[in-house]
Amino acid sequence: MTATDVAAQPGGAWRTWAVGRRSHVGDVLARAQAAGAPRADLHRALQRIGVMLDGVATAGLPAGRLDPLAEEVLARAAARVSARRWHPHDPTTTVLLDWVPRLAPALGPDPAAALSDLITAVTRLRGTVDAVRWRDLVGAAMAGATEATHLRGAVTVAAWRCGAVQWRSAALGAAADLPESVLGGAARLRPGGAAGSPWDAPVAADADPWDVLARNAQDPWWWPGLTGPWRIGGFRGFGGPWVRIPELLGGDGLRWWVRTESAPNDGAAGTDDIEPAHSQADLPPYRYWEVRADIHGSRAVPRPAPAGGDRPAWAAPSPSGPAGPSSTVTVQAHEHSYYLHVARR
Amino acid sequence: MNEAEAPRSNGARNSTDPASAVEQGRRSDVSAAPTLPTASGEDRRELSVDDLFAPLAPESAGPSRLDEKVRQAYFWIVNHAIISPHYDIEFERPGAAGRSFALGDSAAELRLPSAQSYSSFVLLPLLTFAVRGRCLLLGGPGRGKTASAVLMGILAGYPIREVRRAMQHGHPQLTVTDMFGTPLPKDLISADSLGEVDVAWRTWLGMRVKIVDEYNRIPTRTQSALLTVLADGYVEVYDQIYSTGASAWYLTANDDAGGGTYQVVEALKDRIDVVAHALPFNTRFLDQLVDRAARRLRPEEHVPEGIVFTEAEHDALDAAIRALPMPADVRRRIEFFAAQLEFLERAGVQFEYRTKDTARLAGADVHQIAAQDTGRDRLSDIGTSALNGLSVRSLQSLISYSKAMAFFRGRPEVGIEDVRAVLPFVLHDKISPDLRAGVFDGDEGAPLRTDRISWLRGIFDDACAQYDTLDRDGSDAVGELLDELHAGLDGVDAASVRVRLARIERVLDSWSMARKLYGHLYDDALALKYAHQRYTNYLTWLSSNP
Repeated sequence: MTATDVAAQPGGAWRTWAVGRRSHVGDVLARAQAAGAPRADLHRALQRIGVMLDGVATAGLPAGRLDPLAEEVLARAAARVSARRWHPHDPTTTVLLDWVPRLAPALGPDPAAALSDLITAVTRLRGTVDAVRWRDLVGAAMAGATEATHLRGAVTVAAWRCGAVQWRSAALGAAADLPESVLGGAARLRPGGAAGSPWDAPVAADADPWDVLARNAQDPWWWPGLTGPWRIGGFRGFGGPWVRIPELLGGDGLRWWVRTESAPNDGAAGTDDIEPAHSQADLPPYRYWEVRADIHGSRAVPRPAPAGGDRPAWAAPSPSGPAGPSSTVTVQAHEHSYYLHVARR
Repeated sequence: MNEAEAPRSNGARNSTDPASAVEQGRRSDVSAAPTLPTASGEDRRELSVDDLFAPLAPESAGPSRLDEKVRQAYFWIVNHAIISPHYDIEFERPGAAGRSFALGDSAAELRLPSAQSYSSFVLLPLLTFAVRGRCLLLGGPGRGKTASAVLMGILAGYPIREVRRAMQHGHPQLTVTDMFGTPLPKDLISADSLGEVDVAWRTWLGMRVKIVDEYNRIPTRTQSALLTVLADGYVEVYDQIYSTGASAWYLTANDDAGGGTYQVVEALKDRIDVVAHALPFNTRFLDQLVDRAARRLRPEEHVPEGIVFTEAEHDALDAAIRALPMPADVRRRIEFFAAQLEFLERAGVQFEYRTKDTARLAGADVHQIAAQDTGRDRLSDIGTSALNGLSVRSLQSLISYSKAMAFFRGRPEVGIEDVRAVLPFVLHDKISPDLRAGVFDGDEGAPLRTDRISWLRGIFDDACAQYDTLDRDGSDAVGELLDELHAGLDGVDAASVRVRLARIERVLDSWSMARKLYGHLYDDALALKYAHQRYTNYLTWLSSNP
């Protein structure tokens, strides 16, 4: 495949760019093919990025911004095709085709670093957040931005808002540095934007995002318009982490210590390829889990059995219940349910 | 060429350079993904924004992650260099055995392992590289034996030209001086004694990876000289000694059954730690060959730097493997297995000489002597299917490669599954099957005559099953007595010694009453005799020094 083939593709800005940079494009494609990229796959990939870049240009990205963006996107796409990784579920492919059109102006004049950030974050959180809504929230947050200054903060806040509870404290910290418009978009605290449950919750037009986050920092289960009750976890077959009914042993209001009876293959969902350290004969009677949860999501992580007892110090039972002394909710396990049930006190 | 057409990048490229980015998927790169993901990597500290955007791949493999680097080397080789889509070294997840399928009239069993499994033809040379052992690569012409050995040389950091130059090709006219070095002609004329003759040593002798191609075509005399280098790490020519240091050896042969130009010296075979078979090419992977031919790809010329081991790393790798602990229960199973191979009840009169070694030294037929045994279950007694026992060197190789396997799998200590994985390849040329034994008869036994790997793995599994049946982990009277002895005799009084002597005799009494003599009992009995003798000597000393 050559630059001439690329230029022969229909299209406006992309074609113009490829013809103008014929030598460079030819060099990139030749190297990709030498590295194992099949010609047909390269052709398909370039068609897709051509359509994307034409759309970006039509949306008004100046030529001076389009040039470095096209160069970066071409190089990354060719690399993925060479690695036989260019497909719709690949994080790089997703970022280049789905995220870039929504964020092109916000990637700044030198988009390489911002693209690397996005690809890294999407790869890292793959399978743990609602990726489509995450993308939409970041797009809404960065609408109108022409620099990538607040991109990392927006990505972090939006990831937490879409269920990445392990990044809760990072998001609350990053929110302090974000402009109101960015924070409002990333946390979906302004009317409009992405729709669908749980996004259907009405948001007051005058809601102050910092006030909302400050109150949520005190009460992880408070969010405007969302009243509960909620469920955490669930049966593995239905997308939850467990194959045995969980037993709640304690918590501190943000984390809960749970145990389930041991069973073969009861590692964390998605980690079945990890070899357990024990043989079946040595299989411990219980498996322990640390569950992090707030109003936006939950995450259960298998933990080693605690030394000298059945729970760590932070999960010690308290007179006010296993959810912890300061919590405004009760969290309960039922012997017939694979969920932990959360309700306001 | 106008301004717009000129290549934009020039000079040194950095990681954000588009051209560099294109190379991300090339053969010269190592995958950033962990080869053996573990759940223990979960970090409990609070995550920050920087954590979300931190690079996914480790910056480099430091000395503490040498096991990951070895695994990366393995996966690079199987993905890019040696087309060996075989997973004959199988591992199962505890409690989650993979499925099996019986195919064909013979119900050939195809297992789908539930844990990460490996190709012996790639893994064993790599483990040899790690422990600096001696590996024999067997297989028909064009199966990748030499290519595999050359790759190991490149992993050691040598340029491809140097590896090729250093490779020794066996041929019928190969002399000792051809192979190791030539005396300087001027010294030959002027020297008054052999000691004054300087020898120009061949450079390959000092390399960390040594390759001898088609070693069964080397004449017998040169093989004998090779034996010394292989086993003892030095070579002697004209009274001059050259010490080669620790190195990994790779020998290749088309035929293990003496089909080369010369019969391989038995002692040379015994020095080989492990035997790897080049498995046949799977024709479903022909497309990869076509692709390579079209692009003139030579994988050995594109080995990524990330999997090349410096000399210091190689030393550290060897040291880390040696330091890996072997738990007592694993060691006991190896002892139990090895004990059964050597024992031959009717080979001698004195207890110590009732071994296959006694029979072999006398030139007797081990099978005939074994056949004189009566009342023994010849199918379950694994000793009856072998003509010889294990040498100390074989056991050392077994321990060394078991540790290497555990290290490769990222294990903190050697497990019995690691021993089981490497055992057939280590003992391949070390134990001779008695093909007249009953175990090789019948529909089930006949294929074992030709499949030595399965036979060896089978007898080890049988030994482990017997070990479990006898509950040797739970009740090991001999082990307790030996532990007591090895704890030291300082301060032990005569009365206690007499009690211990009585216990030893009680154990032997119980055996003489009820049990048949099997290999493991034979070694235990000799160990008890050793303990008895130590206590007796100590008691004598106590009596003379009241």
